[in-house]
Amino acid sequence: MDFLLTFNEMMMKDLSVYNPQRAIKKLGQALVSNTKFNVMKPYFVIILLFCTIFTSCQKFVDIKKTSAQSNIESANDCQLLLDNAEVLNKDYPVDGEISADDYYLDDARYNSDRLDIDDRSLYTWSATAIRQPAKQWVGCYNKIYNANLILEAIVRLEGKEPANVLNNLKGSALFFRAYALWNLAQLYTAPYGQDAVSQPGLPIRLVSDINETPGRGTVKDTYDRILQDLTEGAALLNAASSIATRPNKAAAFAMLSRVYLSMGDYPNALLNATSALQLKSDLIDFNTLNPETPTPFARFNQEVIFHSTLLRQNYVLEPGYGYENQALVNKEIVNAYAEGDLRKTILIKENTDVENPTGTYRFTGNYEPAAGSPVMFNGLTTDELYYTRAECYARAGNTAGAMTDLNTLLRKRWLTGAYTDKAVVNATAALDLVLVERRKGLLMRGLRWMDLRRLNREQRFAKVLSRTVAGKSYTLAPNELRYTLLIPQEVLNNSAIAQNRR
Amino acid sequence: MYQKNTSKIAMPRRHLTKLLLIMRLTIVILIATLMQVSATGFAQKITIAEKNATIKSVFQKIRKQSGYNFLYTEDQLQHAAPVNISVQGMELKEVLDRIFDQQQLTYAIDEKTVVVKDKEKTLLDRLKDYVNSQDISGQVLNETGNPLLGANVRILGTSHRALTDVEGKFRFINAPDKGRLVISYVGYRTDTLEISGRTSFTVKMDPQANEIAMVNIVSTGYQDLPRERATGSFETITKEQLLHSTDPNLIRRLEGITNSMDFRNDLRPANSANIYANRSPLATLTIRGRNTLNDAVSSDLNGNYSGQALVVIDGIASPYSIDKINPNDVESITVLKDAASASIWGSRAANGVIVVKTKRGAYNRPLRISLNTNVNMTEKVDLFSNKRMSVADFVDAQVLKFMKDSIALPDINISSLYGQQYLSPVAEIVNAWKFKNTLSEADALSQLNAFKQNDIRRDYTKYFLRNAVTQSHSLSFDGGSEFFNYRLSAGYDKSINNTQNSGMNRQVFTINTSIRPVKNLDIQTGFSYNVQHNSDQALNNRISGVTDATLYPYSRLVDDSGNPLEIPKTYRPGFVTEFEETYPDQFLSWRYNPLQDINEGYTKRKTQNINLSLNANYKLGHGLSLQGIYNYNTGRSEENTLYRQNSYYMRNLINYFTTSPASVNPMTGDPVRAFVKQVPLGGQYNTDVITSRNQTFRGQVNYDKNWNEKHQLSAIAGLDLTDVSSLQNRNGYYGYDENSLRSNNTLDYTHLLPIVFGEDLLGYNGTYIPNLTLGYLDNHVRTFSWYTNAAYTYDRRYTLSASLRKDISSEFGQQTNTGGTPYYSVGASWNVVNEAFYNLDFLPVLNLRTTYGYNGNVNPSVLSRAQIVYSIENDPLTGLPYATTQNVAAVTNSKLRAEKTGVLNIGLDFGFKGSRVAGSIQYFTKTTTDLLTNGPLDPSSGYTNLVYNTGDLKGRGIDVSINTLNVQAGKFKWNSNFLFSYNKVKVTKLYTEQPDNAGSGITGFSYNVGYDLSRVFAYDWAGLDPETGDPRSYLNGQALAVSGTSNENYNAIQSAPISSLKYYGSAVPVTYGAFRNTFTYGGLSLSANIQYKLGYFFRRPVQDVVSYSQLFSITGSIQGEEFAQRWQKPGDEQHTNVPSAVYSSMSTNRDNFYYYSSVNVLKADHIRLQEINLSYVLPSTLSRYIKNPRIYANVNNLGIIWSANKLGIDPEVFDYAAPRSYSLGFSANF
Repeated sequence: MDFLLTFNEMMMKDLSVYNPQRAIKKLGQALVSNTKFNVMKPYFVIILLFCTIFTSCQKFVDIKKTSAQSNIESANDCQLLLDNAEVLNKDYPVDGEISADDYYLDDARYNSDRLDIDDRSLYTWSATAIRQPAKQWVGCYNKIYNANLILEAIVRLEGKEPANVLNNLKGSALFFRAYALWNLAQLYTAPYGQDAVSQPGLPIRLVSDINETPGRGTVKDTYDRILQDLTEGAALLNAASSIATRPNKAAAFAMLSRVYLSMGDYPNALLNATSALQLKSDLIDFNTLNPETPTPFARFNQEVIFHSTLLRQNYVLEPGYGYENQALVNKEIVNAYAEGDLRKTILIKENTDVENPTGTYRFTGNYEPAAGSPVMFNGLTTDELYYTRAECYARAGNTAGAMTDLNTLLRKRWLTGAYTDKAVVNATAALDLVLVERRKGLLMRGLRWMDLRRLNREQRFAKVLSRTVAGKSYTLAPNELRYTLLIPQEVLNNSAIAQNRR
Repeated sequence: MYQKNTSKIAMPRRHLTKLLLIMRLTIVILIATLMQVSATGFAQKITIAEKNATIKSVFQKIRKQSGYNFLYTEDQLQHAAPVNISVQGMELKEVLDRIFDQQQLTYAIDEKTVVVKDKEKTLLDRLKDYVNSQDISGQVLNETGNPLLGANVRILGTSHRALTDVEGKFRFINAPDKGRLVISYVGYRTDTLEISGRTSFTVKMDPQANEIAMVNIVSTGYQDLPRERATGSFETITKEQLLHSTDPNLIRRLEGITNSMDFRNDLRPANSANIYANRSPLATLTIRGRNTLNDAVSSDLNGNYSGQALVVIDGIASPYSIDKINPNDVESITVLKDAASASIWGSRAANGVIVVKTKRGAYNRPLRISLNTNVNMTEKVDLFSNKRMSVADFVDAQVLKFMKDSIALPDINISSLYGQQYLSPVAEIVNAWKFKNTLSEADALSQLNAFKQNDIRRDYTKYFLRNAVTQSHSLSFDGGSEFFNYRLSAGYDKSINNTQNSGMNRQVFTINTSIRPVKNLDIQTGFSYNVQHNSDQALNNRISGVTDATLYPYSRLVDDSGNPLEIPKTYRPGFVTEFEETYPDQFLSWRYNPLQDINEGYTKRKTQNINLSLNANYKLGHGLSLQGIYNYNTGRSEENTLYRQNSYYMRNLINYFTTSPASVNPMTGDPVRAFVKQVPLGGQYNTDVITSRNQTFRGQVNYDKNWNEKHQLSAIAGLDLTDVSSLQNRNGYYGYDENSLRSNNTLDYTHLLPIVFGEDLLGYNGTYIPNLTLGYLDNHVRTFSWYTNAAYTYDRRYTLSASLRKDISSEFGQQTNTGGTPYYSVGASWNVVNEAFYNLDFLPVLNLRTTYGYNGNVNPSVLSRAQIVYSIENDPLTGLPYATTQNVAAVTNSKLRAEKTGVLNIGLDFGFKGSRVAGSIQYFTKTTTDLLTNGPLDPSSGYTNLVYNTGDLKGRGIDVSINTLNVQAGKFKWNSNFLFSYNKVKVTKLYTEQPDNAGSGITGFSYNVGYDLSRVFAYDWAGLDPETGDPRSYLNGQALAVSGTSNENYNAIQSAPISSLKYYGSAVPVTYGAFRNTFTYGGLSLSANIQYKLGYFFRRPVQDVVSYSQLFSITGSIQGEEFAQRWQKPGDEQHTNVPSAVYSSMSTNRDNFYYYSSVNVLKADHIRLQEINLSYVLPSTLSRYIKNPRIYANVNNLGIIWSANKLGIDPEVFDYAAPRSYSLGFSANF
C-alpha cells in the first residue's frame, strides 16, 4: 500500500502544477522503469485496479432493463396479476361443451363457414377428432404458470407483507391452479373411476420454470393435486371477495364439491356443497327477470360465487343473440320444461329470425351477458350447489334433505304461485327427479360433459348420444374411449406426452 | 481532496465556448495555410515487392505499372534511403506515401507526373523551429554496446545531418526541439526517435534482418494488425471496392464483393405492405451462414436486431445504425469471420463482425477536396410480373361462390351491424339479382362483365406507383501538417420512393481530427452528425397493396376520364347510403376515395444522430502504450403522423364515437343521448420520440515488441464499459388542427363509451377511445467486459495467437448474469515463404493458418425472470387495474444462457508471381450450443412458443476467393475476382423432446435433429385423385387423398413419421458467391458482376399456388394463374397437379396440404447478373484545377441469367420482381 501512497502523492504533485505531460510521463516511467519501483508493483496496481473495478462492475450491470417491466415485488403486484381476468377468468376449455348434448346444429349451421373441420369432427365425435392448435391446453397451463409465479413470489414476500394478505393471495393462486387443471382434466383424461391409478393423467406443474417437464402421471395424481390445492386454498382464502372474478372460501368449497362430484365421491361433494352454501346461498327469483331481453341475467349476479367463461371457439356455441347464435337447444330439454316453469322463457328463446327455422330454440340463460362478448359462463354458482347437494342427499338416502334443497331452488324458478312443492316416494325417485331438474337448470353451463362422464358409470343413467348431420346419424355410446378427447396435435408435436387411447 | 483538484482543472462554460471558437478559428487558419493544391492518382493499383532497393529502381517499376512519370534531380535522390516495400493492388497514392514516409523527400502529383520535392517547411514551422531550437548530442552503439563509427544521423525534414565519430558520437547545434531523429547504418535497422525536448540520446542499433514493410493492415476494432501476423479469418474491403455500387446504404454495397456473405435479399419493393420491406439489410445478412435463428421483424429501441452481425464503427460496437453512414466516408471495412478475429468481441460476435473504419486526414498531406455526385433511377415495380388468374375467372369464381352459398345478404341495417361489413361487390350484385330481385339479369351480367375488363394493377401502376429516384452528393476536405490532421465531409442523399408522397433525404457531416500535442501522445477526435427525413403516406391512409380486401382486382381507382373514384370501405355501399339518408348532417361522410385519401395526412420521421469520440494513445516506450477511448452517441428519432379530419380514418373514428338513437350505455344497456361527439372534430396527431444514448469507455494497454530480430510480440489487454439506454415517448392528440396547433385531449379513455351503433361489426355496443398517449418506455443495458489478446511471431515464420474475453451484462435482466460468460480463442500461422528451404520463386506468398475458439450471441430481448407489466386501462370485465406477465420475452427460465459458437478455421493464402493469381482458401466448422431462439415449447409450460435455449447446431463450410490478372497488354487489362462460399448448418441436438411426426417438419416452425437448420420438407405427392381431383400423398405406399370435408387423412399424414415426408435439403443457399470481370483500357473500365446461389430449394411463391379457401372466402382473394389448369373432370389428373375447386369449405387443410406438397418444391439454384459498371477517368488536360475526374454509370438488377426452375420464378422474389435501376455519377478531386 505504501507504493500506492507514494504514487498518489507524486501524481498529485504533478497535477497541482497542472503538468499533465509530466504526470503521464511519470506514470509511464513508473510502469516501465525498474529503478524506482519493484517490477512486480505495477502489475500489483493493475491487479488491484481490476479487482476494484470488478466488484463495482457487478453492481454496474445489475440493473433493470426497462421500467415498463417489473419483477413481482409486492403483495399488490400479486393481486394485480390475479386480477388479470383476461388470462385467469377466461378461455376455459370448451370442447367438452361442444361434445355434450345440451345443443345441436342443423345442417346449415353445421356446414356454415363459421365452423372449421376440427369443430365438425368434434361435433360428430369422430374417433380421430383432434384440435390442431393447443389453445385450450396451453390456455389452462398459462393460468397454472401465472398461479405458480404468484406462489413463488409469496414465498419471497413472507415476513415482508401482512400474513392475512399473503394467505388470501396464496389461496387464490392455489384455487386458480386447481380450477384450470380440473377443467382440462374433463377433456383429456379418462373419467375418474376405479382405474384412476392406471389411467394417464395430466402433467402437474408446481413451479413456473419452463425447464420443468413432468410426465402425465395418473388420473389419481391429477385429482389428488386438485383436491390438495383446493383444500389448502379453502383454508387460506377470505370468506368473501369484492368481485366474483376473485376466488374466496365459498368458491373453494363449491369447487371442491364439483370436483368430488366429478369423481363420484358423493359424501365429500355433499360436505363441501354444504360448506359453500353456508357462506353463500342467495338465489335469483326468476320472476324478477325480464324474459323479453336476450340477456336476462346480469354479470356477477347474486348466484355467482366465482366467475369464469369458456373459450369462444368458432361460433359453435354462440349463445344469445339473433343472427349470432349457432347452437340450437336440445329439443328433449325444451320439451321437458313444464308450464309455469320460468326457465323455459328465461333460459331459452324461440328463434323467430329469418335464418332460424321456427320451432327451434336458442340459449339465453348466459350468466355472462355482454353483447360484445358472446362467451359462455362456466363459473361456480349457488344454484349448481343446490342441485349438487340435492343429488348427494338423495344418493345418501336422505330424501327429505334432497327434496328440501330442490324445492327451495325450484320455487325461485317458477312463476309465483304456480309451484307446489314436489314430493317423492323414496330416495331413488328423488335422485331421478334431481338429475332431470339439474339438466333443465344447468343448461349450457359447461357442466353437461362432466355429468355425462360420471353418470355413464351407472347403468341407470347411462345414455347413448346421437346426432344427425345431412341424414347421417352419429352416436356416442356410454364409457367409450371417445369420452376422453384426443390431446391437441401441437402438444404432441412439442412434448413427450403420449396420446390418449383410441 | 479530489474535488479540490478537479475544480482547478475544470473549465467554466463560457471559457469552453471561447475555446471552441478558438479551435474553429485554428482549423480555418490551418486549412488556409495548408492550401497547397495537390492531387492524387485515383485508384491506380500498384503491386510491388522490393527489399533494400534504390528509390530510383522503385520509381521505374511504378512508372511501368501506372504510366506516371517521375520528375527528380539526381541530387535529390543521393541521400534517399533504400526502399523496402511489398504491396499488392494498392492505390498509387498510398504506395507513394509509404515510400516517401521514410525519406526526407516529399512529392506532388501533377496530372500524370510525380514531382519529387525536398520536404519544405511552412513559415509557421520555421518560426517555431527558431524559437525552440536547442543543441542535441548523442551516441550510437551496436548490439553489443560498442560505438559505431560513421553512422548516418539526421533530423527528419531538416538539413541537420551528421556522421558519428569514432566514439559513435554526434552533435547538432540549433536543432529543433521536436521532430524525429533518424539513425541509419548499413547492416542495421534504421532507428527513429522522437526528439520531444530531449537533448541527449544513446542509441543502440539492431542488426538488420529481412524486413518487409507492413502489408495489408487488418483491424479488429480493438487493434490494427499486419495481415501476415494475423492468424484469423479477416476480409478487408477497401474504399475503392465500395465504388462498384452507388447504393446510399453501405451494407448493401458489400454484396457481390465480400466472401461468405449471404444477403438473403428480400427483394421486396419499398411499396410492399410487408413490414420486412422496410428494415435494415443488416437484419437478414448472414456471414458464413446462420448460427442463430431469431428473425426479428423490428429492431429494439436501440436499432439492433438480435442475431445480426455486429457492426463496429471506429472501434465502437454499434454506436449507431450502419444505415446512417455515408459510404463515401468509409476508408475500409474488415469482416471478422472466425473465432480468433471475432472472439475479442465476445458475446456478440457469433454472427460475424463488420468493422468499419471511417476516413481520416493524414499528417503531412496538403489539402485535398473530393467530390462525388450521382443519381440513381429505379423503374416502377412491375405488378404484372406476378402471374395471376384472369380477372374474368376471378369474377366467375366469386359469382359461383355466392350463388352456391345461396344465402341472401342481411338487409341494410344501420343500428346493428351484423352483415353490414363491406364485402365483395360481386356479392352485392348476386344478392340484388338472385335473392332480392332488385336487379335484372341483363343488368347484373353487364355489371359483372364490366368488372371483368378491369384490372386494379393498371390503375395502381399509373396513379400510385412512380419511378424512384435517388441522388447522392458528397464533398470532403482533408489534409494535415506534421502535428495535426483533419477531414471534414458532408454528404447529401435525396430519394423519392416508388409510391406517391413518399421519400427520404439524408445529410451526414463528419469532422475527424488527429493531433500530437506532445511527444508520444496521439489524440484522435471524431464528430459526426447525421439527419434523415423520411416521409410517407400515413399508415391508415396508405393504399397498402393491390390485393387488400378493400381493393378487389376489379376495383378502379379512377373513372374513364381519370377522376379519382370512390370505393366502398368498411361498410356496404347500401349501408352508407341509408346512413346518409337517415342522418343527413349529424355525421361526417363515410365515403372513401383512395387517391384523395393518401393526401389527407402523412407520416414523417426525422432521425438524428450525433457521435463524439475521443481516442488518446500514449506511447510509454519499450513497445508499451496506453489507450483510452470514450465514445458518446446520442440519437433522436421523431415520428409524426397526421390524419386530417377529412381522411377516411378520422371520419370513421369520429362517427364511430358519435352517439345515435341506436346507441346504448354499454354498462347498463340503457339508451343514451344521441348525436354527442365523444371524439372531437379535427384531426389526429401522433408523435413518437425515441431518444437513445450509447456510451462506451475503454481503457487498453498495448504492447508491441520485437527483439533479437527473431521475436515479435504484440498484445493488448483492456476493459470495456458500455451503457446503452433509450427512452421512447408516445403521444397523440385528437381534435388536432394543423394550422392553430390546437388539440383536445380531455377525453374519457377509461370508460367503455357508447358507439354509433347498437352493435358494431364485432357485436360490441361500446368500446374505449384509443388512448394515443402511451407515455414512456425505456430500455437500459450495461455491459462490462475485459479482454486480452496476444500474438507472438517467431522469425517471421511462426505465429501463435490467443485471446480471452469475459462479458458481464445486464442483457438477461437483474441478478442473472453476474458470473459472466468467457470467450477465448487460440490460433497459429505458418508463413512458409520465410522458411530457408522455400525456393519456389513463382509462389512468393504462401501462408497457412488455423484458429479455434468461441464466440457468443445474446438475444437482447430475452430475460430469464418473469416480469410484469402494469395495464394502462382497467380490465373491461372487472373495471379493476391489473398486471400481465410478459410473455415470450420474460418467462421464468432458470437455464437461460448466452449462445456459444465454437469455430475452427483453417486457411491458406497464396499468391503467384506478378499477382497473376492470388487468393485464399479457408475451411471452417462452427458448433453452436445453446441455440437461443424462438422455438416451439411444450404447451404444458404455459406457452407454445418462447425464446429459449433450444438446441445445438453444427455447420461447416469453405470460403474461396481468387483474384486473377488474365490479360495485361499495353493499356488493356482484364481482371477477374471469384468468390465462392459453401456452408451447411445442421441441427445436432434439441433440448426438448421432439416427436417424430410429419407435422412438425413440414412448416419449418420447429427443428429436426439431423436435418439442415433451414430445410425443405414436402408431402410426397401422389397426384390428384382421379375421381375427385383432391390432392393425394403417399402414406405407407398408399395414395391418400385430403378432401375438403374430412380431416382424417390429413391427420394421418401429419402424424406419420417424419421419414414419410420427402426431404429436399437446405432452404438457404449452400453454395454462393460472385464472379466479377473487369476490363480496363486506359482510363476506361468496364466491370460486370455475376452472382450465384446454388444447392437449395424453395416453395413456389404462395401467391402462385391456388388456395380455394381463400378464393372462395367471403372476401375472396385472387389466386395464381394455375387456377386455369385446375382439375375439372376425371382424366385431368394426367396433365395437371392443381386440385379441383371446392367451394364451401373453410378447411385450409386441403389447401395447406397442396401448398406443402412436393409438386410445389423447386430447385432454387440460379445465377443472376447483378450489375454492370462503366467508368471513365477523363484525361486530366480537361482543366488544371480538376484532378482525376471520373464519370461512372451502372445498371443494377439486370435479372436472372440462369435458373434451375423452368417456371421463370426468381427464388429471391417474394412478391414482385425487383425493378432495374440505373445510375450515373461523377467524382473528382480538387
